[in-house]
Amino acid sequence: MFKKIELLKYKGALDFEQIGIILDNVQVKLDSYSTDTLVKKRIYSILVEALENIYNHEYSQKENDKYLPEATLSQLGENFILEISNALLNEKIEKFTNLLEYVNNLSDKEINKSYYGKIKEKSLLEKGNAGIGIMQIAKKAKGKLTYNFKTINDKISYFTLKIII
Amino acid sequence: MENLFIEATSTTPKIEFYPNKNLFEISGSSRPEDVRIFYQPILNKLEQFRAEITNKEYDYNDNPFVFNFKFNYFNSSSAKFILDILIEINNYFIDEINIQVNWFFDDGDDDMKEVGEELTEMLDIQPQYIMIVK
Repeated sequence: MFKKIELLKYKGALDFEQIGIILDNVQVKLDSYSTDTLVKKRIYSILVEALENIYNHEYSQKENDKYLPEATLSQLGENFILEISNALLNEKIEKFTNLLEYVNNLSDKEINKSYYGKIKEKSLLEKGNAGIGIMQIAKKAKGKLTYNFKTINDKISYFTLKIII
Repeated sequence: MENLFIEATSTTPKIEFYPNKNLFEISGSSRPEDVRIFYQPILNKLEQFRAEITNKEYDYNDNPFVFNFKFNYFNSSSAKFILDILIEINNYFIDEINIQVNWFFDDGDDDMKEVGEELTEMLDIQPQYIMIVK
């Protein structure tokens, strides 16, 4: 039985500056680990994309602390598990579901092809980056991404994404 | 053309562009809050410099213009602009300017080597891949 080791537990508002503070703290913890360079860099990369995904898509719930963004990163045996949650407008659920199902149904080779295909598209960057962040996460994660949407009311839901690295 | 030097921050890489020393180097981490604001002036500078040297008789035959990419990390938004920089560097090659492109990666960071290979796959330039052993 593996002991769960916590590297990050955060709940609170998330702006660009706060993302930097979280990343610096996690980097210091990862640097003290003997885990190999590739795994450390993949954890860092996935954490950046996941936090930036919240920054770009979160529905800010100032009136309700219960549904503030949340991020936990822990190690269980050889795996690192990142769980990240945020409030999201219900109208965005379909787009996210489609994107997550799309990447979950691709092989590693297909994800790679799709990711670099998006990067090479000439189109201008739009806010949210046209799903590239999620593709980057899927490319570096182990196995499929798991997710759920917990309905808060008819306007918003609480989105949780679980990534194994 | 004047030099361009941008000091690294926790979210943006260091930029060193020394036309008289035949050197363009980008190093560090990249996840700017606004990628376009950070990278567009750099791209513009590279385009201006190419226009300048193709209109004059610069000779890089003995000393190629060196482009060094020394990233330890960049996010997916930066990747698009890094590709744009590589496409511009490819234009130097097309214009028959003697160039050398070096793509550095940390020992064990196969992902960083792979991204260099993927981003240059459709281009004419073939970077040298140099592993940094710490």
